[in-house]
Amino acid sequence: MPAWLIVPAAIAAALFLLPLIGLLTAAPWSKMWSLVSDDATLDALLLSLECSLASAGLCLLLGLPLATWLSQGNDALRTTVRVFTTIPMVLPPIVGGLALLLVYGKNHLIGGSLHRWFGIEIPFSAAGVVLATTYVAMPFFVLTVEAGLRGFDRRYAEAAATLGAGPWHTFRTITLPTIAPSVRAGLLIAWARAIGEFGATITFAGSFQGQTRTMPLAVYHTFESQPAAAIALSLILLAVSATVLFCLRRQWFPAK
Amino acid sequence: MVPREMNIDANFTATRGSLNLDVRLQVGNNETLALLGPNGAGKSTVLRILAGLHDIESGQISLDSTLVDGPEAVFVPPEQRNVGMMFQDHLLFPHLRLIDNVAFGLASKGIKKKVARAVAREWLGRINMGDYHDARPSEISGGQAQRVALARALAIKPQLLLLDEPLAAADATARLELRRTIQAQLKSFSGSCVLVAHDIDDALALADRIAVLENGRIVQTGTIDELGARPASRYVADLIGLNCFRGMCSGNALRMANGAEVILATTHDGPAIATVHPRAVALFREKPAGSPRNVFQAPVVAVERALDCIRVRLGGDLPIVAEVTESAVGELGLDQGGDVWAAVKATEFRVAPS
Amino acid sequence: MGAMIAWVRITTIALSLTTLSCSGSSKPCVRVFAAASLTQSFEELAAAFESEHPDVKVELHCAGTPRLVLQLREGAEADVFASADDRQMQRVVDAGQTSAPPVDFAGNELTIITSDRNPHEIELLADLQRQEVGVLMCGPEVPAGRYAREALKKAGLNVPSRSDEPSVRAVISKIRLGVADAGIVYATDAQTAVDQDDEFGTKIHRVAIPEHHNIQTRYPIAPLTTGDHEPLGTAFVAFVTGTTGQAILASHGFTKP
Repeated sequence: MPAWLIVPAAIAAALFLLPLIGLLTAAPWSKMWSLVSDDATLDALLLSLECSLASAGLCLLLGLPLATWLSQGNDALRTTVRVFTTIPMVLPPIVGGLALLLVYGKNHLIGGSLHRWFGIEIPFSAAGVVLATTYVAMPFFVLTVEAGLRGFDRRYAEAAATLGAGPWHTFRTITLPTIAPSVRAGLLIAWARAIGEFGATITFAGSFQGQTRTMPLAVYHTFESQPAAAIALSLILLAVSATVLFCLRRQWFPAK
Repeated sequence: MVPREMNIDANFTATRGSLNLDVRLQVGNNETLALLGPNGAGKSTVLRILAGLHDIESGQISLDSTLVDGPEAVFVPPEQRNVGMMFQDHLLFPHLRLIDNVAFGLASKGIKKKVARAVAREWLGRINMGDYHDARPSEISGGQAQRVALARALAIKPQLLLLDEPLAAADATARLELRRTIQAQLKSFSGSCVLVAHDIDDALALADRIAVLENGRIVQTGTIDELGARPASRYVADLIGLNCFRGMCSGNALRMANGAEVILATTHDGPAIATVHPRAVALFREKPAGSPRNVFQAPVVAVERALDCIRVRLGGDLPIVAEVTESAVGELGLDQGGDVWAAVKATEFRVAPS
Repeated sequence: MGAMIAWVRITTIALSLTTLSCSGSSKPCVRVFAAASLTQSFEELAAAFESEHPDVKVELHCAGTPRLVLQLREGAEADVFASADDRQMQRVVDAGQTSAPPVDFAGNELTIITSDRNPHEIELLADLQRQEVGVLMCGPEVPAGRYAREALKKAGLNVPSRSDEPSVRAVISKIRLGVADAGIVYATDAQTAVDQDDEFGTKIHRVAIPEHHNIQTRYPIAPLTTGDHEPLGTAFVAFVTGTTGQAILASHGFTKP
């Protein structure tokens, strides 16, 4: 790389590093332990971890088949579906949350039937958190995995077929293991997006301690009254996320 | 003659990209058919169609008296045809060890892993790769990988074996060993085999019959002798190594488009192809006297040293290749270029209406 | 050359963003920080003030009261602060940022809102206790939420909020969408919502809370030392507490302080 490119690169790195340093210096280190062990904080942290993992799981179960279908062609239908899949990425999360309310809210499209027939109410529940975060995170998973699938040499699947393997067997033993790096990277990106989600969660699932108040929401509430505590909470979330991302550093990029 | 018990009976049309195929071929049990032809003729496509990786537009294909591809909805997918295929780039599964690669077909049919692995180990032994059973495809050479690919295809005991240019990816030294391996395995293989070859030597070594595919159509099928006796096209003639002349015949003279003429021993009328073996072309420094009806002067364009003879290419109105000995090159000063006299007996020409 | 000019332009814009004086105006301007529930009334007040003082511009910033206090603490430059409760105002006073003691200029009270069909037939505060009724309030750190909880406590009721909403507007929107059955909000906001005739969700139905259960809230206002135009700030405060200002506030449903 040409030597002078290091200057804009360094500026970019600083862009990320400086706010972190700002947070670290403003943090109330003396109160950190009492905040970490506070019930509300632990509730929020646990909820964040549980919901983001559930979200990642949903992304895998639903996103993998979608990505597989999308990767198989470029016709008008697939292009249209791909555009819709990308929309949550460009929509402000609050708008995403609003859209979800209009579908799953008690008096709306699907939510109405769910409430009438099964007494189920998705908004204001942990399921609502998972739905909201899955909505914003799945596009990242689908795009990453689709790219991986398109890089998959279809001739291997053909070879497997000539050897007598049916489509599901081929998918399970040949395709999946080969695209596993893309799937892992996609899951990681989706998880990171899900755990940090705020707008869609607070709009759709609301904020109730222990049930729907995830860490980002807890930070928001604390910020209104005790900014120092909010900084501390942010750093806790940051530390947890950074640890996970570091431990899974080999999965970041779909390398061979 | 074509054996009565047919194993492959194919008669179909298909399209791949801009290529239109119209193919009819039959292969018997225990028979190997080599498919030859120029690049882009559709040879690989024919194999893919037989394997079930590509659909036909009309006609039908029967493997072992079972219709596998036919009108309307009849189409048996590749995993249900008893076909084993070996691809040009071996296509060994990169994430599986060699033993699991070879065992793959059996495992996907439900055979227990232990049993499948045992069979695989046996096959690896047969192709002299027993020591590498634990290796990954990326750790062995191209030639070795091709042998393993062959074993992988044979391990499922297919009735039809398809080899797509099996020797193409191997380097010169590996080719010989690979060819020997394929020869040995084909001997003990009881089904039919269709292999795509790129040159006549591979076809000769491995196949019983040859089919030549040009532009999506089979122009000729038969043994090497049948092809050599009456090549149906210039490509076939070139393949066998013959000189080929195409033109309009009247009486016993064949006139080419550029006006040059060759005198034949028989009379014909109408368009025809005349072939003559390079061995039948004699070269002289001075104009020879004698019985040959075709005597002419031509410039030496090239002198090619082949394995066991020298081929001298002559230019001019009647481009022709002559086969001579090494000493002749020296005596006639062929290396110096310049003009030389050529003589071909009319009786040496074989003619066929085109 | 073109690159040079572009660079100069970018720098100028960046610089202008750093000087937080009233953006782009050549007229002297007074910056007012007001609680979210004062938005509509203060917009009208600002327009009225400008027509009385044609050479002055009013720059209005409305947001949740705690957020405004935070911004002031972090160095925002405002000339007037109108708070939704005295607790938040006290913080500003304690930080020495006021140039005159705060004055109560308006009052508000709480009300219950439901969708216009009111399927659960809510008529009393006690009805909110029923299992099947989903109730929404603001979070306790927002004045509206604090007051709502005080009112419920005063009535001896235990009504948890399904969710601690960030603002009164959010509560109203969710009621209109039908995702919750009842909410406790300011009377003034409820009035604005009832009068609103857009096509969003259903209309709002108000259920009054009797005086002995209700909370009378007070809005204090004070001029600040943090801005550039202290005398203008004082003038604005005087306007709000004067006849015109009070009339405007009354028309929006605020009570006398």
